[in-house]
Amino acid sequence: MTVHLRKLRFPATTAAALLAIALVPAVLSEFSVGLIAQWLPLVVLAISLDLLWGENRIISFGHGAFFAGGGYVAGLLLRGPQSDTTGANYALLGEGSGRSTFDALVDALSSPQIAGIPLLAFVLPVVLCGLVGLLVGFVIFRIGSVEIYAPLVTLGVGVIAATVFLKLPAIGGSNGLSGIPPYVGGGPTSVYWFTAAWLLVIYLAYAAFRRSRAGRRWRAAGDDPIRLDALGADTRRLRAIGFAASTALAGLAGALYVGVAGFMSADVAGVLFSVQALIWLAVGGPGSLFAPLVGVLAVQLGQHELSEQLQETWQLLLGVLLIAVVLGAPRGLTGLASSGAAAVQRLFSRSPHLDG
Amino acid sequence: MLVQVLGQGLSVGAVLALSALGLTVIYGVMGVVNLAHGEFVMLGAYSMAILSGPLGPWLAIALSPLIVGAIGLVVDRGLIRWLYQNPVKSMLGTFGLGIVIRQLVLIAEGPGLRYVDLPVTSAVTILGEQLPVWRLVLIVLAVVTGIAVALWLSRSAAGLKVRIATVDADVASTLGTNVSRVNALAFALGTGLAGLAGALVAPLGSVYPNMGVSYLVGAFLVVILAGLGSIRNALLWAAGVGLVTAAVAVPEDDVLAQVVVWSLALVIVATRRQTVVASRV
Repeated sequence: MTVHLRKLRFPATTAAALLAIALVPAVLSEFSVGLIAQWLPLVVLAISLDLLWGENRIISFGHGAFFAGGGYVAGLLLRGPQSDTTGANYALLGEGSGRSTFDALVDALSSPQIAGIPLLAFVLPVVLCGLVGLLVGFVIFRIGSVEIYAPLVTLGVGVIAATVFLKLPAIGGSNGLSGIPPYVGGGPTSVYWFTAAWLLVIYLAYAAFRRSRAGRRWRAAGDDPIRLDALGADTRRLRAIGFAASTALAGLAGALYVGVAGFMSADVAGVLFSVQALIWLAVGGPGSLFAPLVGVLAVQLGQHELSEQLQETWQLLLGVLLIAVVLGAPRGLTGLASSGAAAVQRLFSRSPHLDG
Repeated sequence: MLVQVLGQGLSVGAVLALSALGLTVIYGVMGVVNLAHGEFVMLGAYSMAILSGPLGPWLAIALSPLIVGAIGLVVDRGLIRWLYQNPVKSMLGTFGLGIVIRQLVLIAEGPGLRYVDLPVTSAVTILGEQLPVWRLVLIVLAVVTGIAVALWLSRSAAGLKVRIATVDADVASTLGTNVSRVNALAFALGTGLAGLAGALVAPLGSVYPNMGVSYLVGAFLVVILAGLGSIRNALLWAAGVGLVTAAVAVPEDDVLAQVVVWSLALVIVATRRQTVVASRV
């Protein structure tokens, strides 16, 4: 009997990934659980990038800006109005008019709650990042040569966001926004479950999207926009909307992140963090369903283990890694794994028993 | 204030023009979007910082583009040639290269700021306002270099070969041009221009390993507006970006200037009737 490895592979990897996620709190220490919980929102960010890069051949150097923006909004709502003595909030709306207006706004926005979780902490980042993304996407897809200009325009968006966030006193300026409480009480393990549940829902939705009609059309818009145009679709509008969906997801990732990390700083909006996100995906293998998960876990684990001992050399290694992946393994770790699996399958199918 | 805005705007524009010119030549000839370009500007600034003490500022300015261009030549043979004619791959690869260069400088030279003395310390008074002479020298040097590169490309025999290789590498190769040598030359030229920009700007600010990012972003702003591939447009838009930046930065502050310039750029790109196609030189 022939073993149909190809048919088995997808459910097998899915089951293994689910099992691994479920086992983390049982096997690891509370500290490690808390650490891994911080990486799960990064996987969501990587999914939002894969939606563009893997599925539509657009590279964004500015997704960190949307991640940070979503994080700041959610962080403000989670924290609620502050009895803040530094007067930082005055400056946002000008002298004199400041404090009560800003705090009243935060208070009003954080009041609709479900089970103690401010609902708008998820809704607002998605809506705001989506709207800004739509605006940016509209500009990008008006220019020709999207594959070249999309990275350049998003690079600029990231730089602007990082400089602006750094100067806004209401979100902590160069100190960053700190003291953000988690969405759920009960220590790192319950925070982990909360975040993992979100990740699971997003992953399932992403997998369903990839298999849907809309997903195929989205891929077609990246593979051959001119042909899709000729077939009667408005490819530019489609791609602008897809870009907005991706930035909205990046905003949601940021909102999840601040609930785990309790902190957001302006560096995250900068180009270096955005590129770190691209490196996760490059290492995972853009366009593959599991690339975001594999890439984030591999790189973050490496960073956690090595960055303390190696200091500057870790960044150096990251640069070398990016070059090595680009030159040697354009389909990343998941690509290497599936070529390995294909090789095993060939081994099986070469067996002399020809049945059926 | 007018003189301040003009002096600062045109000198910022001149540095942007040199950086954007390098990017344009590299993209035009080999289809590589060089995201390590800011790091080559940084290398130019460091070579100025290191050499201007022992050799004097003028010799250091002359040597910096040569040194950075030579580094560019090595990088081209070692890495860039694997990325030719593949913009997306080249962006990721050169960003990795940028990280590597930055970290190597950080390890070798430390994170601290370095300062370079102004080669010309005097100032002139124009319309009752003081302007450092160095800014004027910088503008003149950048304009002369830009015109020289443009003339070299349009008039000289070697420039003709570069342009043929840009249009059609196969035809150029058939006609006896060593295309791989042309590519290496173009990358060395592009990075050398970045090195010159770094050397010229070093005395106006501080020199540190992460300084490249802002030059990369500025050069790309020019490229987005001018379209990758046109040298004349790159020079004109660089001057425009520099002037608008200075017009906001002098009375207000740098952050607002960045935001204004980028917002204007996005509006210009969004409302432009004819979409820009990335044509070659």
